[in-house]
Amino acid sequence: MNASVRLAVMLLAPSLAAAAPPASTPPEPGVQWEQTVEMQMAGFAMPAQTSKVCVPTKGMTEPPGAGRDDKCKVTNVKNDGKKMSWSMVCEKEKMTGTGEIVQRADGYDGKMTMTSPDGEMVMKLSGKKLGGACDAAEMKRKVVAIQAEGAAQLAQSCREMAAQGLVSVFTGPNAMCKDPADRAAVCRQAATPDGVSALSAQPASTTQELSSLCGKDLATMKAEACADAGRREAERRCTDGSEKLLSFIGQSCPGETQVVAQRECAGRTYTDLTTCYRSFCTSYAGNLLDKGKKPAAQPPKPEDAAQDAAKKAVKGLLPW
Amino acid sequence: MTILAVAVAVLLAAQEPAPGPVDRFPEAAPSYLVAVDGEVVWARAPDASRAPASLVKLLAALVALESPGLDGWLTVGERAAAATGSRIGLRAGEQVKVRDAVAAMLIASGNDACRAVAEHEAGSAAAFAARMNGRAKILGLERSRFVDPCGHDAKGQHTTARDLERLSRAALANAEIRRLAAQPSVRVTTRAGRVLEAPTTNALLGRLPGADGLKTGFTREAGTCVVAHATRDGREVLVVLLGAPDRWWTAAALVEKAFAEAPRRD
Repeated sequence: MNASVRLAVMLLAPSLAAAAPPASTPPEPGVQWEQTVEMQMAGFAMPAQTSKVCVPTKGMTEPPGAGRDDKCKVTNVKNDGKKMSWSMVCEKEKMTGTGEIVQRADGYDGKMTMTSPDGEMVMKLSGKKLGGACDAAEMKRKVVAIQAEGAAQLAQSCREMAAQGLVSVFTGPNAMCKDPADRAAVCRQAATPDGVSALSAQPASTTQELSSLCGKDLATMKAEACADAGRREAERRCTDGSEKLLSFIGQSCPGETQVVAQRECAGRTYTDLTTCYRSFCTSYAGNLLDKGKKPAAQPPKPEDAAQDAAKKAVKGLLPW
Repeated sequence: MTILAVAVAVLLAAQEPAPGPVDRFPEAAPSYLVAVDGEVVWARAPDASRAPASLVKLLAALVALESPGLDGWLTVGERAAAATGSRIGLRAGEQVKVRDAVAAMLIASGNDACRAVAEHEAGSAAAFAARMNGRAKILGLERSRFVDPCGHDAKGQHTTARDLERLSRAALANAEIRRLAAQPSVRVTTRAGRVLEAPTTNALLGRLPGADGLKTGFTREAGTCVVAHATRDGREVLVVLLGAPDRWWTAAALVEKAFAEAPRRD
């Protein structure tokens, strides 16, 4: 949203307390007002924007729009009951400014001046009491509820991203997720087979950030993941999830590969193997062939050795 | 003089044959060949003369299936019933459908079934072998000669990995052979109602993803052999192993490597 438009919308919105009140904020007697903003910049003017808001019966205690936009902060509010002034800083847009309104029994008038790299912007502010009772705290409660929901969604997203090993949202000075528990979860996830596999596809900068976050380098995390995979595979032995573990071990863990290969592949025939080790052992055989070795570490008896031996004993020439 | 030498060198270089397939796996087998999507990518001694063992049954089946009368009955002779090696258990005098006997020799590598087909089709094994050689010539199997239609070691019988690749292509082009080669077992019912069953000799079927053929072979002279075929995601790999120390591990590993590493020809 264009910064000036966003500012105008913010100013038109109902005024809120700077510090968000609890969701259980009790109703607050209020009166319907109509607020208008007319904005002007050099060579540019926005049509007057009008909206209805509920202002506390006791009168305006905060500048119009205060607390509605977390990108702009209102400070230095001075209010003697008739005249109210304030300062405003919008860091992202690099805008600063001041505002002032003079209150009457049936309304207020004032202006706000903001300065940004694009120039100066002047907003003429006015308010008119319309009458009619309303709950001035209703909007506050809605905002608090929305903020709470947003925080909960962010926390949930952070937990999910931690589980998925999405490192970037946890690292850097502007990290979106800062909960130490989530950060610890990212480090735990990184030291798992899935985490290491995911990291291998990430740029070096990401792995460096992760190393910094977790206090250990990628090689250490990989070694931990391999040890973990080797231990779990040895426990599971062809139960649920073994094939995934075996795939990771075969691709990423030379030491654990040797252990599994000696235990499950060496000396066995292709047809001897249970299904879940067949792919692993086939890969291992391929690696041996790549190294110029025979496909089995201890060349097994030929597939049909027992049969062959018996056949040879009977007759020498036995085609099949 | 220098210009002449350069010109001669250029000419000689131009006459050098294109580099052949790489022998990337020297321990795979004394003679092997791996083709991906019809292109040979790795090979060792693909033109070396080798005993074919039962891989020759691919040609026997092709010749038999191209002959009329597949749905007729053949009578098992005494020689066929006495055939050694892999068998499905046919007895002399029994009658089986020609088509079933062909299936038995392809799936279970039954030598009794093979011999019965040969004698039924040509009167004798030798006469059938002559037919096979005629078909081999048409197929362009220039370095092959077949003496025993079922693959027993025989003097003068030889082939090469490259010829077997060509033979396999012809076999795969035959829908019936392609169908039979992928079967896990064969069931033959004699005319008298006796039922014979035998499993495939191809250990890759049902174990190696995508494996759908093609033929195994083993004799003392040939060693353990296999023509393995597999298809995945529209790609196909053919592996010919002759005399492999461990044909199943090797064939499975080469198929996996071929699918994983050979470039796609798009």
